[in-house]
Amino acid sequence: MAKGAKIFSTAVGKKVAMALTGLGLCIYLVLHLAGNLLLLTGSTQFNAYAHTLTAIPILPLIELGLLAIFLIHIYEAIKVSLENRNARPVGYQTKVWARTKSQKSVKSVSSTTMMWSGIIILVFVALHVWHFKYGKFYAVQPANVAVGTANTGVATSSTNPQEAQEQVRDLAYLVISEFKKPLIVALYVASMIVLGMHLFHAFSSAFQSLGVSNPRYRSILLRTGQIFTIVIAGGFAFLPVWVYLMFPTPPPRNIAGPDNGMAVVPLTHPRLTHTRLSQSHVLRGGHQ
Amino acid sequence: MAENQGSMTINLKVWRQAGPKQPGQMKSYVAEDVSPDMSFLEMLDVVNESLIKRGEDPIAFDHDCREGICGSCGMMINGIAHGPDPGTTVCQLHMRRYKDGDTIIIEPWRARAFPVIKDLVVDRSAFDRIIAAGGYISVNTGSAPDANAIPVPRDNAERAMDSAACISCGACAAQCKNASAALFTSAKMNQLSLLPQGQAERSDRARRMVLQMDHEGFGNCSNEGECEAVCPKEISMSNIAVMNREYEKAALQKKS
Amino acid sequence: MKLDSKIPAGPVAEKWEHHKFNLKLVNPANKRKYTIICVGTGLAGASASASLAELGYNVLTFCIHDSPRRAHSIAAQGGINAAKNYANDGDSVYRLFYDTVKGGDYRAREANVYRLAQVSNNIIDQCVAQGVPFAREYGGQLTNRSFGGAQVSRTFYARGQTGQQLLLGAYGALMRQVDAGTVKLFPRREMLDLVLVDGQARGITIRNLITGELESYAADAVLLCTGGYGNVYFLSTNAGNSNVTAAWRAHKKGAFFANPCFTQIHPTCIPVSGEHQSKLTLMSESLRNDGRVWVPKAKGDNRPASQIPEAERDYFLERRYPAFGNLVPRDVASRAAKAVCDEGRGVGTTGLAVYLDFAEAIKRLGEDTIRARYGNLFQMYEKITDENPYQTPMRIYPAVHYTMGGLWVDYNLMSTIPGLYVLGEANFSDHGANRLGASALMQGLADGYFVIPYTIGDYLATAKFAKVSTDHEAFKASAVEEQAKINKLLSIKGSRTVLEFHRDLGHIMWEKVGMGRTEAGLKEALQQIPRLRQEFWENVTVPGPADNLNPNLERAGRVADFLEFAELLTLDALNRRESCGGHFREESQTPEGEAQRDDENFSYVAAWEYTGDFAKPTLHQEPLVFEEVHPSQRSYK
Repeated sequence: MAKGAKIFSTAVGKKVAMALTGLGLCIYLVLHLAGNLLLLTGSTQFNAYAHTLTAIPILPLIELGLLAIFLIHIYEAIKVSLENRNARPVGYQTKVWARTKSQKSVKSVSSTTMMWSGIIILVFVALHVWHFKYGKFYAVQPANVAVGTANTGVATSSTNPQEAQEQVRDLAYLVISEFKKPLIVALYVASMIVLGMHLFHAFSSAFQSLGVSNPRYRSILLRTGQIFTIVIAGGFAFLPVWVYLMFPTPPPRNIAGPDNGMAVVPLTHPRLTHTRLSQSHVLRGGHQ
Repeated sequence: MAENQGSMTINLKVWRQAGPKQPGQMKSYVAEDVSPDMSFLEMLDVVNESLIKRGEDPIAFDHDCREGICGSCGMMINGIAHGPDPGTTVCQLHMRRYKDGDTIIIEPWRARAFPVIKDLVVDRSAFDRIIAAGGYISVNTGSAPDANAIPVPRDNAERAMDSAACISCGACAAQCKNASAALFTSAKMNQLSLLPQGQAERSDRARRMVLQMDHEGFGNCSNEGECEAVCPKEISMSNIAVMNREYEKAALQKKS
Repeated sequence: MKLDSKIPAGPVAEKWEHHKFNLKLVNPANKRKYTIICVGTGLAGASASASLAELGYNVLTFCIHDSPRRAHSIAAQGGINAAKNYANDGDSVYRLFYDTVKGGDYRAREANVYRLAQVSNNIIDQCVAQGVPFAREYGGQLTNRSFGGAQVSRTFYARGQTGQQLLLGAYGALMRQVDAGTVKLFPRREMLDLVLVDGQARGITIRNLITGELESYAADAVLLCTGGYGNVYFLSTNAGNSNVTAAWRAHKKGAFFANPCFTQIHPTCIPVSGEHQSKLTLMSESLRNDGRVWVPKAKGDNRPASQIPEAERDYFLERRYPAFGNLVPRDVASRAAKAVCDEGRGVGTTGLAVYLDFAEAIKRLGEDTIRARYGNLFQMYEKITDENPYQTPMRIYPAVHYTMGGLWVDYNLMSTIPGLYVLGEANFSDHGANRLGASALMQGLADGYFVIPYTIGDYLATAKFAKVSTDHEAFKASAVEEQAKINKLLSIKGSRTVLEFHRDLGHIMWEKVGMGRTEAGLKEALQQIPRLRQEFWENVTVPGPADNLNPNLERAGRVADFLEFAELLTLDALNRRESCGGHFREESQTPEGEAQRDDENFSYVAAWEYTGDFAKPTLHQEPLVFEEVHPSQRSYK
């Protein structure tokens, strides 16, 4: 462990650590986006996916791992920034980007604001987790129990106490109802633009730090980074806009269910083949 | 020829600092009768001649070959290392690049690892120490096999030459927002890792040179490529990727 | 004092082998007891420092720059010769030896040149092992080109940066020893004096250029690897810091100076553009492979080149030397260019330039081929002149480039001062009166890698050494004297700058002691130089501090030495009433206007001893004996 820490303590090692954690977060972003986009196929699928995730027994461990990756990334970022500042105690009176002299430089607004975009993303993530993990609890029947009741959105209609016990969060409803608020949508989209700015430099930079880049592939890598940025940031930003514009406003609901959101579980495994019957128009119909 | 195009007057703002410990400041000078055919350093020569005539201490700056190969000269010109022309050292920058009445701001390289000695002269011995940490192939005089005994693929030789073209001027670190020496260090490392002769010490070299680079107080690489943009020899930042790779391999191999 | 060149007996091909065997060795355990000072870190200095440290000696290495890698060897473009015969075109050690003796116009020592040719192959091996990225064939083997009109392809090269790459190889070897603690490196130090104890070179006085302090260092032997003196002409292709000071101070302490009048004028440099000019830039000699040199036939024809019809152009090299054409040796090409400019047929605003025209080659080979061959040179030319050489012919003019003369050394590279060795361009030995292209790098590395490590041991093993430290009286006296000189320079506070004096000296030297020298001109120079020197010491102004970095003060000291040395150079030129190699006495030419050597009277090395009076140094002659290559008049018709 000490040896490992030493490897990561050099100029190269620190950047490798940042690159590895950064790319880990990129993978997480891809999975997260894929999950988000399930909402387009219907609330049931979305909820089923969410419930499946929360049903994973080692989820807390995974979440802790993710948190660790995130914290290492932040820690290295702070350390590297402080060192970089320290490397030039006396600054220039005039400094101009060399990009004005040669296009060999890839310096950009993105690359110069990594710290700021990172801080904004950090704030966003904190709010986001608070909002969705510990936020309002709208209950819903597990997908495989009663599709119909889920569609009604009336979680408390169940008469069976056993079923009521199995009620879980209706995250789809939460998402949709939140994304009907213009302020939330605006903040969310703005945050995704910031995320895009971060990724714009980060993606290709990570490969350069890992030493995967070479002259022949450098431009391909840069282009891939740009495409990745657009897909990820664009994908995330697309959902709220789409929900806001295209989804009907869901009826207001009471916050209900178990007191402690964390305690919800265990779930029976939702079978997607089963739930596929449920279409988003059904969902919408149910709301009206 | 061009010298008949008349002379220019150029306003200069130059960093003056009497010694390593003394405080410095920007001072204004006027360079008169500047011919467009002059090199930038010849323009400074003219300014210095007038300072000497007035009994003042001339502006100190490093220079030697004045043909872009020794790496002695280097200064920030209007905020860019070696001035506005790509692939050019200050000594090869010519005054025809400027107009009559222009103002030019001249500052020394700035980095913790490049302390100012006087005016525009900085101490770049950190680069020598990085090379001393492994920027060579250990072969004693007389112990070499026949030069053609080890074939080197032409492409590798050419790429090694691309990296070996570094003149150690320090512009990369000076321009880098983090004052990182990654381009300098990696160019030598890449040159030697491309050649069969350099394989034996490959991982040791990578480890030692990176540690030395840190030890000198250079910053980290942010992969912006500003270094490549100001490099008078246009050395590619892909070298830095190679250095990272070399270091990772070395770190994983390390047994002790 | 009689000069003993210590050339070993026996056939030329066996001299070096026999000699190496006969040299005394220093026991490996004893090597660390010896300290060797090396001044300069060019090819000779860096290679010598590294090699001696590898052997186990303690080495103290000094350089004037902020880093040893900036020595002027770095600027050599073309290549390095070696008798590898990889091209299978008939090259051999003997042919390289023969070409070099002949190219030097029979004013070099045969034995030295033969040894140079012998070790040339080891140099290439060594450099390749160090990772010097020489140009290669697709099969991975080294490639060669023919250079400077040689009939065989024996030149190894690394693009147009061969000197840089060889120096970086030697610099790497040096830094490896610095890392190992066997070499102590002292950058930004300038040698001001050689310190003798009991007649032996035992140390140096140097100035720390950053603090201005004088420092003393003691050792058992001193190597001077301090380069040439081309900057005595003010404008040359040499770097600004190149100077004669170390060699000159050693000369004043008793080292003889040999053949100072042998200076090489390179034909293809970018012409002077104005009074502000601080240095001249060389364009590689290889350009003459495809470029045609011409001037207008009529005097004062100042039409642009494109408007001068073919019939009104004089391709004077092709006309005068039909066999070699544009590829005649450097000295011949330079003089021919000067001759047409003297006739008033030069081109450009100054009239001091000739055209080097690629139009015909571009038409024949296409612009792409020319770009592939000379792209970087064309680019450099355009950067400096703002003219596109693909469209208008280049303008070129000769410039001082290399100095064959230097401190006299014997076969062991030892000067007339015991324990003082001189390596590389700073010595006189291998190039005679004219150096061939791609030979300078070879000589610097030969001296440092493969000669001095053997020969210095003989001295250390046989000489008697008193115990000497820097507390010795001689060191103190030297420091006091040098400090007085510095104080004097600072105290004059006259009205003219160092640069102005240097420029004035350059004018005298270029006009009177340049490409064509006459008795009358040389005598005039001998009047002017002392006058200028006197004026310098009365009227120079050197502002700035003594206890801090002061480049102007450094330059003042160097120009002061040039002002003394210039007189010796001129005296030597006056003494040598023959034309040979780079030294052209107009009184000594053939009816066709070619250089006329006088082997009967001047087949000797002129070694000058300092007597305290610049006007009257003592001449010592070392006769040159040619057993293998019999002198003949060079002809390039």
